[in-house]
Amino acid sequence: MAVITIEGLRKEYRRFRRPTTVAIDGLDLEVPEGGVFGFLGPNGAGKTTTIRCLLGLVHPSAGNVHLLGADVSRALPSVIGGVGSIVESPALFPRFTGRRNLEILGRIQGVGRTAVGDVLTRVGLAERGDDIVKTYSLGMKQRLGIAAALLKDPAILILDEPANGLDPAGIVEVRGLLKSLGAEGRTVFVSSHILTEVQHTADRVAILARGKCVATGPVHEVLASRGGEGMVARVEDLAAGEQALRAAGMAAAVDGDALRVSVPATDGARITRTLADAGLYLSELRPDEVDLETVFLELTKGDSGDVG
Amino acid sequence: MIRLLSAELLRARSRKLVKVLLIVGVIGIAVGVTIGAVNSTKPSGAQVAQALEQRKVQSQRCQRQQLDENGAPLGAVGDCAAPLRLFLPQNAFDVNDIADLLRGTSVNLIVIGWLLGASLAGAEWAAGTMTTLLTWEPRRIRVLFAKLFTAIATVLVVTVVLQLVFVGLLWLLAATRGVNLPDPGLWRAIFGSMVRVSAIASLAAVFGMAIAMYTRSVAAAMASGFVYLAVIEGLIRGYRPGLAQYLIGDNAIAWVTGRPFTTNDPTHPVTLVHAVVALSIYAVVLVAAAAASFRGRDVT
Repeated sequence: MAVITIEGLRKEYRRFRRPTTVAIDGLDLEVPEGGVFGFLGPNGAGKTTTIRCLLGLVHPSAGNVHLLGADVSRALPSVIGGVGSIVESPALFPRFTGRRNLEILGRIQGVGRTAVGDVLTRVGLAERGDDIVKTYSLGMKQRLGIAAALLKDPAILILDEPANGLDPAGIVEVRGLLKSLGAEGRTVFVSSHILTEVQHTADRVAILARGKCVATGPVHEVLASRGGEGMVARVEDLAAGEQALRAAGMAAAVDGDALRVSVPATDGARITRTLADAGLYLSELRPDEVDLETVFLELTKGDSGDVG
Repeated sequence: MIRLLSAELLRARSRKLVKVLLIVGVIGIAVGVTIGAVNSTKPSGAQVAQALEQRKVQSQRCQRQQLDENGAPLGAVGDCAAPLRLFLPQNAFDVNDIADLLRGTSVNLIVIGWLLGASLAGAEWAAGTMTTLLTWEPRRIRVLFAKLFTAIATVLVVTVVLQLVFVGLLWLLAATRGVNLPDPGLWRAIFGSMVRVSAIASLAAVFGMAIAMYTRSVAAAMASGFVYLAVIEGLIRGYRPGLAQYLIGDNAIAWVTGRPFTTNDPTHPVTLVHAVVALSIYAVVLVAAAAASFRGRDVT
C-alpha cells in the first residue's frame, strides 16, 4: 500500500510583474509503506514545495496528493495525527525551552508529558530539554525538530534535510535513528543533499529535477539502471592482463590504473582464473558500481544550482 | 478545539512579552502612584468637614436655582453633585477620582492590547512556528479562532490585573495621603470603567492580531495602527468631518467614557451603543479578511 501518492502535481508561483515560476511540473510519485524513502534533487528542483504540498501548507496549482490514503486538499486533518514532519529547518520558539516547545505541540494532539520526555531521550536531548532553544547548537535544534516529529508516534515521517547542521557523529546518529524508524514499520520520507547518507540509509529513492521525477525505485535498481555493469580488476601488468582477458573472450580495457571488464559481477571467478592462468595475480577485483552521487549528477545535468 | 486552545493558552502564558508587559505595567503604576503620594497631603479632619459642608451648601443652592417659587422644575434638571475635591486643598487625592484615572489609562491598555494581539500572531510568522503549528493542526480557521480567543483572554487577564493593581494602590493612596470618602456609585463607576477599558483593549488585540495575520508581521500590524490613528483619522477629520462618527478614535473615546462623544458635530454625538456596534463591525471585517487570507495563501 502506498502511503504517499502524488499524481500530476503542479505548483506555479505567480508574482506581481514577474514571470510565473513553475516549482513542480507534473510530478508523479508513489511511496510504499515502511522503510526509508530518499527524496533527492538539486536546489530549486521542487523538493520542499512538494513536502509543503504534502502537508497542506501550499495549495497545488494542479494534481492530486494523497497522504495515508487521504486527499490532502480535503481530508488532511483526519490523518495529520499520524504524520510527523520537519519542513526546511525545525521552527520552534527560540525563547522557550525545548521541553516547553514540545509540550505546546503535544497538547494539540493530546500527547502527554511522559511522551515528551521519551522523545527527548530518544534524540539525546534529555539533559538539555529544560534549556531555552536559543542556546542550542544547530545540530541540537535539528534533533529537537526530529523529537517534535516523533512526538505523535507517527506512521509516516516527512523530514526535509534532517541532517542539516549535524556534526559527523550527529549524522551517524540520525542515520541510525532513521534506519531504526524505518525498521519499526514506519515510513520515513527524507529529502537530503547528503547523497552518501541517503545511499546508506534509504531503501528506495526518487530523484527530482526541474520539478519532475526523473528516476525512482529501490536504490540498487536506480544505480543499476545507470550503467555500472561490469568489473574492475587491478593487476601489476595492465597490458598483459587486457590481452589475457580479451583472449578469453571478455571485453576488457585499461582505464587509468585498472582494467574495466564488461562482464556480469557473477563472472568474477572467470576473471580470476584467466588472469592466474596467464601468471597475473589480482590486487583488487570489485564490481564496477556507480554511486548515487554519480547517478544523481547524471540525471540532473543541466539543472540549476548545487545539490539540495 | 479544546486541545488547540489549551496549547495556545500555554504558548501565550509562556511568552516573555506577556510577563514583561505585566511587570512594566505594575512598575509604571507603582511609580505613578508613588509620585501621586509624594504630591498628595492628607487633609485634616476639619478641612474635610468644611469641604463636605461647602459641597452640601452648593448642592442645595444648585437645586434651588432649578426650581421656581412653587418648587416646580424650571426646565431640565441638571446634576448638582459636585466632586468633593473642588472643596478640598488642591494637593489632596480624592478616592472619587479613581474612575476618571482608570479611564485615563485606557490609551496605554489599548496599545498593550494591540501589541499583544499582533505579537501572538506575528511572532509565529517571524519564528516560522506557524508552519510547525499547521503540521499539527491544518484547519486554519480553527487555528485563527484559537489564536483570537487566546489573545482576547490574555489581554483581559493582563488589563484586569493591571487595573486592579492600579485601583488597589490608588485606594491605599486615598486612605493614607488623601480623602477616602467614596461617593455613592463609585464602585459601580470603577467597575464600569474597568469593564469598558478591558473590553476595548481586547478588541484592540483582535485588530492587532487580524492585521498581523494578514501582513504576517508584528511591526506592520503596529505601524498600520499608528499610521491610521495619527495620519488617516486626522485627514478624514479635516476633509470629511461628517465621517468623524465612524472613526475608530471617536468611537473608542465614547466606548471608554461610556458617554456620548463628538469632535465635530454636537448634534450627532457617538453614543456607547454606536461605538460598540461600529467597532465590532470593524473587528468582524478585519477578522474576515485575515481568515480569507490565512486560508487561501500558501505558507512558505
